[in-house]
Amino acid sequence: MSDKRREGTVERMSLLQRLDHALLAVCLLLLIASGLALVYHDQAWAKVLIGLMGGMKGRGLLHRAAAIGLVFAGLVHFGGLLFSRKYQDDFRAVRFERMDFSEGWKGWIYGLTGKGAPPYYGRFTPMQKFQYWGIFVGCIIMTISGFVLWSPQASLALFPKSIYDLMLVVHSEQAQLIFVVLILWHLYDVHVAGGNFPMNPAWLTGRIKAERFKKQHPAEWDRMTEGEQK
Amino acid sequence: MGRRTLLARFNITIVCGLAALCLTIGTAAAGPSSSDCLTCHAEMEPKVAADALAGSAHQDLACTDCHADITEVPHGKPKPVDCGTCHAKESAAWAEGPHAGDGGPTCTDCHGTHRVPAPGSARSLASNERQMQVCGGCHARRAGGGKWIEAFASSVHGRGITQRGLNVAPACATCHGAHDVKPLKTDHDAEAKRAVADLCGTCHKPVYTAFEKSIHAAALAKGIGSAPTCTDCHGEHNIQASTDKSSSVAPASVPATCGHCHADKRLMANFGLPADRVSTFLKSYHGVALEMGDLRAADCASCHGAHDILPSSDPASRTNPANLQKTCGKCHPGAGKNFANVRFHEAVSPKGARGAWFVRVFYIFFISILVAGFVLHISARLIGRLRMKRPPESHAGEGTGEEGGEGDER
Repeated sequence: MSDKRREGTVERMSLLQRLDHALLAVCLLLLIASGLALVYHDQAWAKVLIGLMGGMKGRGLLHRAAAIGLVFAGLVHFGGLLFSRKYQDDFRAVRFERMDFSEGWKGWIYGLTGKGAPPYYGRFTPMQKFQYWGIFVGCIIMTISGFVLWSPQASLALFPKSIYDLMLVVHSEQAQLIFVVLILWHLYDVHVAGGNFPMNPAWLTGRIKAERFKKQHPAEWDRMTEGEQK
Repeated sequence: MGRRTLLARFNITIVCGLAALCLTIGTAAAGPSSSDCLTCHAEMEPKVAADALAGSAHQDLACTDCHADITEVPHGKPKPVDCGTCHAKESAAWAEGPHAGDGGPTCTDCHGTHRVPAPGSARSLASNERQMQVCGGCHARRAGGGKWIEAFASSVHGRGITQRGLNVAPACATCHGAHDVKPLKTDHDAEAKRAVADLCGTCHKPVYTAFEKSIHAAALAKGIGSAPTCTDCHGEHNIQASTDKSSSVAPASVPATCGHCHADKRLMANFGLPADRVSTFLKSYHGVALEMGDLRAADCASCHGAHDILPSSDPASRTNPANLQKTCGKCHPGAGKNFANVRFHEAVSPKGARGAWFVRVFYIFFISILVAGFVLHISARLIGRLRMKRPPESHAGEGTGEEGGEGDER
């Protein structure tokens, strides 16, 4: 584990994770921009966006191209879960445990009132786990509904129109959920919250300062340094 | 010289005298000849050129044929010419129309005076271009009238006349009539609306035949004055081809044109028709794509037809369930059974698409809760941070730096 702590930093994201994250980020932002522009097409900002994308046709092409990128990012993620040790370790750590609820509550009370003990979080805080699973489930829902909507011709040959209409609602509502709750919240956490302004560089460097890691993920720090202390 | 000779002489004198008398009386009844008139009017106002009537419709007439009240020269102020003496039918039609009466135009205002153009001449009022000039002479100046003339001049009909030289294109008199000048008001008058359809149908026969089959024509036949006739969708003076972007029946404008009635809640309630057909269309992918300028997208007429529009309950309707597969198939080749068994124009509401409505409500609820949680989360952090920034008492050594007191970021 010592390799993960060189020069007072701890490895947070592997190179593959960073590339995957960057692809996911770019694709999601393009999808959100081209998608919400359609949902809110009667708004002035949406008209500007659609104009920038070269009209409705360009918007549709961009949305579908970014969708392919997103699906590819998802496939890389599943590939990582199959073949990469780092992905597998992280995936084990990102599962919700009973402790997340009690520690999360403790953390909130501590943050709000300064009373009690600081929360004893592991590799991922409860909020990070929630965001991971939100994006995980969200992307699956968006991919399925998106492919149904991809070609009305093909879809209506397979499903009744009520399914198509339902998928239209699911796709646009889930997109807004992902944008408002997951992306904005995540951007707030990594760019604004705490000492992260202007940004937490982990998504580029892959590393986090040991000092900060110790404070924010004490359970994981203790686990990593267990052997050395003994 | 015998008695017979004397008698013969006497007879000749009588005959000649009578003839002279007759000739004198005849000449007196016809008044002065045209050359008599020109003797004075070559110099005297109103001056009349010797060839004033040459080439006109009236070139074979004499002055007094029209100025019939002048029987001797010199004469006083003559009465206005009564064209009705010869043109009785036209004069009677004019007398019944809106032009008759105080200050309204008379025959000469449109036809001119001495140089009344011969039929077939370029200046004849049978020329559509000339009609636009002559009618426009007054109507371009009158309130409201200017718009009609301008609108007509730039309409598909007007441009046909002025740019393409089509004399078959209609001009003012084609629709309004020449002498009785009908205003063609159609407001809620089924009879007048049917007359408009008949009028347009004189040129647009196949369209008229299709329209006659439609529910709109059937409603007009029943005397329902709010049912549309040609002009309600196509406009009047400003009619443009549907391929013209500015047309009220251009694909992008069709929803608004149909919506003029079909989105009117009160009007639709009269007929027990839903008033949300346009709003649900505009929210559909077809509606959005059309609004964004994708003209491949279906507008109202793509599915429902235009002139021969029928309610979906009619087996001959394009939107009858039995015909949907074919109708959708126009754009979606290979449209399967799923096209036939669906409900269109379904609002996402408890009464419409209930499943989609439920999903939407769920999401709105879920997103609201999460946003509230987000706001609560940020507020809690801000409050916590303010607390930490106070002079340290119980938390000495903590929360002094920018990074202090935060539990859960990376």
